Amino acid sequence: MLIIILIITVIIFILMGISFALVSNNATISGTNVAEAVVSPVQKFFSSIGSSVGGFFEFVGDMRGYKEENLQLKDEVEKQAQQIRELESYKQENQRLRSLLELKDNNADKDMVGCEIIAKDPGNWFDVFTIDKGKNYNIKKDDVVVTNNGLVGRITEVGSNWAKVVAIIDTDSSVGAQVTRTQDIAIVDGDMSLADSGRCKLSSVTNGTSLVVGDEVETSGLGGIYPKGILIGTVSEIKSDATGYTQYAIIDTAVDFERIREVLVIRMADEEPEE
Amino acid sequence: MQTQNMIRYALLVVFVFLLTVLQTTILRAVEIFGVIPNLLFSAVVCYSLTKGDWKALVFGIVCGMILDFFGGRAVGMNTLLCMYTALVCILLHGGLFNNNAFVAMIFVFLLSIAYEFFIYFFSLLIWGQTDILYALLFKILPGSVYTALVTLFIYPFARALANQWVPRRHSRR
Repeated sequence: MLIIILIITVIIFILMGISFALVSNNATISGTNVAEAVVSPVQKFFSSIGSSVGGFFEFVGDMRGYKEENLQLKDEVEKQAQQIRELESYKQENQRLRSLLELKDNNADKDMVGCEIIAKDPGNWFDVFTIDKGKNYNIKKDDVVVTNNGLVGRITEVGSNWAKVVAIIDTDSSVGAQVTRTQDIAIVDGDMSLADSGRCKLSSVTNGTSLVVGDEVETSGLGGIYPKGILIGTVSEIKSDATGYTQYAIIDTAVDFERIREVLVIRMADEEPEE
Repeated sequence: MQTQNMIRYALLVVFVFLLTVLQTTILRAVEIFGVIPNLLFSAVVCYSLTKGDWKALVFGIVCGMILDFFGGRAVGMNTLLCMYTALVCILLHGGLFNNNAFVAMIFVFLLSIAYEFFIYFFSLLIWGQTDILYALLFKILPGSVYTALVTLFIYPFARALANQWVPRRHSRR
């Protein structure tokens, strides 16, 4: 019995020696290869299960952290969205002010002052608004109000640091006008039913006038209030009155009265403002 | 008591000031069908219906003057109309079966139609703006409905401010 055990031990030692020699020479032992080939898919399967289970418990463990992180990220996104909105608002304001500045530069011969609209008419009938500058900036009654797009209206009342402007779409407004293409003279009047859509009426146009849709209408300079050449709007419709003798046109004003925020007041006097 | 009255008057001034600022600024952002409600007019009706004495008349005159001032037209039209509105409400005050927000809404709606029509008549119609149907359908009616609706929010404040001068009389009812 001892002899058999001894023999087996010797054989195993010999085999160990052979396998050690083979491994040292990077050779593959066929038995190991077979064993690895059979076991490795199973190992891989259980290993993946193991990592999944481990991952799950790790996820559960980190759940609170994820929640907090999610809230922080949401907060961050909200802040950035708010910043984008603010920047967009500044961008639009910048564009508006830039265009007003451009207009001022292009009319260096005119004495202009930039104003902000601070209040509008409290009722539904009139298109009157209040601006934030008045006598303190030498603004006077009948000064003309414009934007980079065109004519807004005129000053009707002035206080120490405010002034009231009647828009050209108001029923109380009447502007001496001329059609740019034909140089025909007419009058632009405010009309109650047109004012809501930012339009007004070009009246006193004789039938001989060849108005076409798209014609630009500007101030004629007649009447003593509005200087010549300020764009009022473009003709959008041409109609005849009940008598059929005179025609009138509907004008889309160049200024968007719904979105107007800043205006320029053309000061007719030569005096310096008290700033 | 004198101090309390002073505080109440101050609150009334703040109330009118807030309504004026709202009506001339941010209310334009919540236009419906191109019209805004007349908060001051609503306040005049609510206050006068509750108050029912000469103070309501003064309140009406003050609110009307504010509307005239911010309207940029000749001062007087709104002052007179608001004063007459307050007068009608004072006369109705004694005969009111119940004074609540719903009753105030109905009064505001009816009186607002009359008020807006007078404004239209004297400021526009006689000056050549003869499209009565447009005025009625797109200005007077929507404006009156909107004003009546906002009365729901104005009524509690106006009533509280009006009642504070006569708490005992109110508690007897």
